[in-house]
Amino acid sequence: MEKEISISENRLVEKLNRISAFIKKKYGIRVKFVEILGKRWSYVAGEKEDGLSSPLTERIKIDERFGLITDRWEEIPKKEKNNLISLLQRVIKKYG
Amino acid sequence: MATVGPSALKWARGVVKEKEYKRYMEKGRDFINDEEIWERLKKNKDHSPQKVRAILDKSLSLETLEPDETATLLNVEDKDLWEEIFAVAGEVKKKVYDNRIVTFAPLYCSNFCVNNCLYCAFRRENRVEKRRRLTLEEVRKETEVLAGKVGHKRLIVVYGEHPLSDVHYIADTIRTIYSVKMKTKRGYGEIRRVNVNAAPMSIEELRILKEIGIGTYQVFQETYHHKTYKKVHPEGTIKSNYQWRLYSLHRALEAGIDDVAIGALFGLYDWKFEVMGLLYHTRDLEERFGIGPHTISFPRLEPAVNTPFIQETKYKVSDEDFKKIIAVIRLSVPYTGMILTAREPAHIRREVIPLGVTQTDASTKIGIGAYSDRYDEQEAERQQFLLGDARSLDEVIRELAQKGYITSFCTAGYRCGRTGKCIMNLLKQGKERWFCKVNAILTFREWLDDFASQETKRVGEEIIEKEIEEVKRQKPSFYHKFMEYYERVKDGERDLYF
Repeated sequence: MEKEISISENRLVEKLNRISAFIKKKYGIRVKFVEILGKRWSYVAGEKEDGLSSPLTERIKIDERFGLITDRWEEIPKKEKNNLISLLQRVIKKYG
Repeated sequence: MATVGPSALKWARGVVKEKEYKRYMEKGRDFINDEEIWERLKKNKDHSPQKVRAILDKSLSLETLEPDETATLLNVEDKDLWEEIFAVAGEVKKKVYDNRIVTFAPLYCSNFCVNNCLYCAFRRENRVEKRRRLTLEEVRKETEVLAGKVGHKRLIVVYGEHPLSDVHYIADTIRTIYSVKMKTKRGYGEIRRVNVNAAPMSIEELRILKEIGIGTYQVFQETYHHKTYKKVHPEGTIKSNYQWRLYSLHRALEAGIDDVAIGALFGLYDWKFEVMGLLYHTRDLEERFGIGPHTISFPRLEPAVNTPFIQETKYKVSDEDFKKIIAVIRLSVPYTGMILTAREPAHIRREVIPLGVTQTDASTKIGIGAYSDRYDEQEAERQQFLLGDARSLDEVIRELAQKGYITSFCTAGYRCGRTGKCIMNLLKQGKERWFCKVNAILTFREWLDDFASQETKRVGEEIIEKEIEEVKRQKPSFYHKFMEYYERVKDGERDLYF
């Protein structure tokens, strides 16, 4: 059972890392994904911050369980943002 | 009052899950090899200045030391060389965390305990101790004082090991704490981070703890020396199981709690051995999970009611050796936070904070229900031990500011994904210090406006001015964004962070 959970979690991390890389390549925007646990937003995948020169501070909920933290999210066109969130919700549902 | 009835004993028998720690052991052994530690301490007697300085350089590059290197530092005898070690320890701290000191308060929720540790006033056979478990309403009242009157933003909640304070009670108390919001002079007060000091748990229980969104999960091994551990934790108690405790943070990480904290209680066994134990513990966590301890604590034994063991131990740590302990831990695990508590008297706190301490408590009361009861004297029968420093947060902050430290109430990291490996990377690269600085300024501004006395506010504002100047000078591209947040906080907005 534990092994299964671990494999599933790893696949989620792998998928989220890919999506993070895609967003960075397409929009030049950095994104990290987190698990929301009450006040805690715990790192799961994606960009690792590189210090205060480029802080990631914009917190966006993907669903009740997962979120993303980014910078300049507003620069992505609204429709594409919605598509991204839908994609993330599907990925999380499947692998999360 | 009897603390351990038949039902509590039955509960205690089901706590330890052997397979949850045995799978980490290799050939039936854990990662603390007592003989090997002593061997390393013996063989690294060459502490020539040249060799010691090379180790100090490695610490300055923020690398975790090898056991042989830590052993070398522990063996230094030359007083001048120790002065160099102390100075570099302070430098390492500044490089990783800057000149900020984070403050917190302990909140003791229950002192019922099924264990019988010789050095602890909570031990079950201590009939003098007055037992109490806070109701959730009492937890709320304690929090209202801490968040609404004193101004703390960060707590460490503490519980004895007992079915009355099992994981469900712990979860309920933390939820209660997080729900409190108090109006203050200019804004509002709340607890933004709850760290937990509780007995080792199973993975299933740790998952419950994870779900609530705790800050750091802290378990001290007390002593890493197997024989001493056995002696001070009587057989038949949960705590007598050395490995169940040793691997408690491995289980926490496995359960997904990715900020964990270690510590040793100095005075139970030889202090040099314990420092080596902390290092081995750190290295095992790093090797297995890529995540070292978020903090290391190094409390010294303090007097406790009806606890003669404390007077009898031959391993009491002198003030001079205490300084060495702090400096060597700082240098051995450069990235870790280091917690100094109000166990220590004010004059010791003044002396050792520059050696690398990153967190401390103030306005501390450790009697169960003591914050809202508003009694000022310590009551030994309600406490685990006696405090050495009962000064208020306002006094401590003023003194720190006079010495050039900015007090931080920052709880930003764990709320924006700087956790686990992510925070470890930033700390090891010395990149977290700027987050520390700007968040310290923002939260210190909040506290000065909401809680400070006039005198502390005056001294505190001088420090803030200097800090802002440094941000302007060294991070010009970030300065405007930061100042926008700062002005909003000054105008009464709360909880803005980077």
